[in-house]
Amino acid sequence: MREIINDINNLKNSSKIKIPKNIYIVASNNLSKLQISFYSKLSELTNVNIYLLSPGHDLWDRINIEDGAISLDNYNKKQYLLNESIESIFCKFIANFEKLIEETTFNEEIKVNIQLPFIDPTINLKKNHKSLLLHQIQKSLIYNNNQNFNIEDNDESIIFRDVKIF
Amino acid sequence: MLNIYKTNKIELISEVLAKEILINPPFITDNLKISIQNYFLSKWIKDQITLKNDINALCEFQTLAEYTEELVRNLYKDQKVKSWNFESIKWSIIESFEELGEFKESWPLINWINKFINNKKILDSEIYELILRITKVFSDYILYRPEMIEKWHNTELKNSNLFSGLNKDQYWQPILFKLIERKFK
Repeated sequence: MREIINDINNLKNSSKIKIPKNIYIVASNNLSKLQISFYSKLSELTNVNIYLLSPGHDLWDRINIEDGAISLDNYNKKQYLLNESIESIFCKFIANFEKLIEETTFNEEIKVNIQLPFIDPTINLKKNHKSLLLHQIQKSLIYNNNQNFNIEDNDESIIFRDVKIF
Repeated sequence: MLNIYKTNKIELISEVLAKEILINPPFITDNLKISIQNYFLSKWIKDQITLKNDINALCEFQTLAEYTEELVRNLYKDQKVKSWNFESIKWSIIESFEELGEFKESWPLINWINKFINNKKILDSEIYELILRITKVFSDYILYRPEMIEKWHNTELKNSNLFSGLNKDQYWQPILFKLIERKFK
């Protein structure tokens, strides 16, 4: 892979290379830095389409940038850790992965077309004031009870909502 | 061109993918390959493409490692590219296991190596499990620590620089890498 990354200009001029005219990759956060560099470079030879399943929009910025003025006076590590949101705990890995893609394409000076069609999964039921499955599960976890869940047909707050909950 | 579609809806991914295949269909004799890491997700996406396009012929799903390996082989068709895939690394480790015992740096593994030699090089489940784990570590190094692997590749076996940045109980790793590399040559 590294040889191809370094040798991409020669490959561009070669008429013999056999490469698909479209490359399709569906991923969540499982690409290594080497693979991202490889497919970024390969996009100079062919169309590379990467479909990333991501839990949220602008995760890295949301997790790593705090609002307001930063003060190092009275720095309390314990308080700082307590301020960590659930999102920053569970989404840190994927946020770093998304930043890695952004930095790699920037450093390699790759022409990139990024589409970010994020859809609020709670929007369907917000208007009806009905309880979302996601909120019911959150409440159940907080209060540690075994209440039954009401699942509406158009509830999309959890992707795999048809999974049986024991 | 690099196109990245980032979304929280898997249905949207399958829809965009199905449309993309419909708009840019592969050549009639081509086998369209799509890389998806998860087997069950690939089955689901295959069904979704069939539902949306009414047809889904000649469409094959591979893991990213398989897909990348095939791509590299096609790009360097003239040259013999020996693949460092999981199976070939595993069998090279088995072949090099006895030789590894000749190096004093192999002390963390010496019990297993001696057991392997005493068993007349017959693999029992315990040694096989160990070798599988080492193979997994080496496969991950190749993917996630390519700089370290390149450094090992460029350093001679007798050179003490081979061990720089490692703890003493990890010295056997670059040695084993050099032995495997010799097998690949």
